[in-house]
Amino acid sequence: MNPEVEEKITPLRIYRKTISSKKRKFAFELLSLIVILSAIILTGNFFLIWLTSLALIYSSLTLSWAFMEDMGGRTSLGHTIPFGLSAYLSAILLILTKRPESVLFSWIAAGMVSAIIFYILSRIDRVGFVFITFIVGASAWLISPLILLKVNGELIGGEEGFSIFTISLERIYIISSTFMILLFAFFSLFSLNYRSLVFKAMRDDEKAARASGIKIDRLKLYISIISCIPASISGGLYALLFSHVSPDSFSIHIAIFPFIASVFSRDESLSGRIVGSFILVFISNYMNSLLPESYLLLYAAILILSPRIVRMRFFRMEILGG
Amino acid sequence: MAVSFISVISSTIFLSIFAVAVSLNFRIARFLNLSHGSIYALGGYISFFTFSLHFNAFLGFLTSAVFSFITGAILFLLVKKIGKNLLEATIISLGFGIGLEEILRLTNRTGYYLIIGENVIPTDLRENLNFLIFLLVFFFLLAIYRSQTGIKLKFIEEDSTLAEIYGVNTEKYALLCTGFTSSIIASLGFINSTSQAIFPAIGWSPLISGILIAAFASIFRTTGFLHYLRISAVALVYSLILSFII
Repeated sequence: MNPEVEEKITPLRIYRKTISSKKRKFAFELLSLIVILSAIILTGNFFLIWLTSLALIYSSLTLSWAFMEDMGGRTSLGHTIPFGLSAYLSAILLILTKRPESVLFSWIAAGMVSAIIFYILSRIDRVGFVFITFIVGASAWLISPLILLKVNGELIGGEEGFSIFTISLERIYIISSTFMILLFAFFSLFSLNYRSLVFKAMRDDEKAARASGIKIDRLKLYISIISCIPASISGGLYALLFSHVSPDSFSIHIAIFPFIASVFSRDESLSGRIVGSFILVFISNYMNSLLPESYLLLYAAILILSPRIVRMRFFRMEILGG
Repeated sequence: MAVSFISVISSTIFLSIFAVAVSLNFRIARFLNLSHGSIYALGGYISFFTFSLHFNAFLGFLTSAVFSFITGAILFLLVKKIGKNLLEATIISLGFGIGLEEILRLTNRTGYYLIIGENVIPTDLRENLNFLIFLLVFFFLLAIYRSQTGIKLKFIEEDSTLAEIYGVNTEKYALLCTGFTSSIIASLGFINSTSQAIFPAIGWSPLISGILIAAFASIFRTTGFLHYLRISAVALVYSLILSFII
């Protein structure tokens, strides 16, 4: 073979080899996830199933948040907008219509409204985006106690929120685990597809990508939709799991959860983010049993140390090849 | 209408002070201090204990100002040690704020909402005290910006790196600024929380309003004392809009 041709082929071979190794890793992770989640429901332990359902919902939120960061290069501190909006809309529609299928409409509607908000906000620079999403999310948290509904002449909502009918835990567990597995598979396969390179090109350098003919605005819209709809479904499932929605669905603690869950995971590792979410939910629950809501001190400590942790992670990856 | 006018003015004064503190911190210390909400709550808790345990109110107020100055200084040292840029510093301040809120909640476990039983600071006196803080802050800023230090502060506001190259001790001013703004916010918390239920997240609402006002005022791209005057104008418009909506 002509040595020049061979030289041109080499990077392509390396790329293909990397992709095929990543595919094997993905298949193993997917299988492990299915086995673990099936084993948990077979235990029949109510508390474990409930806690895992919560972890699954938070993992889905983290994955949807991670898509915006990995593909768009935008760190959002306002993913409570689709999450909380969907939770509220689901509860309100369930109360008004008393029809469970109405939640599907609320998930899509909340996801699309949030996607439009995120698309508009994504025109701001990256640092500004973090601040503005945080401010919009926090504003929603502060405004949410004003949401009131008159049912049978009685005002409900406000600080107390809305209570909805209970759905069996097994059903919620199956829906949330199927949803999380599908989300994990979709995002993993998407990042392995060559089309994701277009998104990554925009993430790395917007101006260069625009100069190369990539339609930046269209990609930003896709990212907003693909990230917000799953976050919205997570919010809807959260409402169903607790059978109750309150202003806490918009709280700062939920807003920072995906960020904290991703701090320890290796760059763009979706499985790492799922593990991070599970660990955080289980540790939070343990700390709660010792002292109510003391887990927020852990969140605070991780947030304070996050710049150092992230730098150490990059140091390991870039310098030591860890 | 008169009552609404008075409430707009008192809201303008309160939000102006909050937004000035947020903006001052952002321009001099170079980060958005998201712990200001928790420091406001800290002032509220000190106020609760001062009045519940019948301590001297002035001493309580002074304690609140000094203690929050130290808290602000600790935050700045953390930011300096761990954070390398605006975003990291802001996230550290958010973590610091959440931590402070939780410490307040965990150390006061009698109830989530704390209420000072009696009307310890009447409404008129509270509004006058707010106005006094407003005047003090603005006179202080005017005096500073007309002095040699003011020139250095303007230099930092315009280009912090260049100011450092020209020998301005930016870190010293950032430390003092973080402490000073924390003191102002805690003082506001001490005075204003007496009229409402005190809880750890009490400061989030004024913080978000303060950030919004400071962000709108920054559109004018002015530096120095003029910028802080514009914040007051924006706070007035913001309060007027709020009074129409709510």
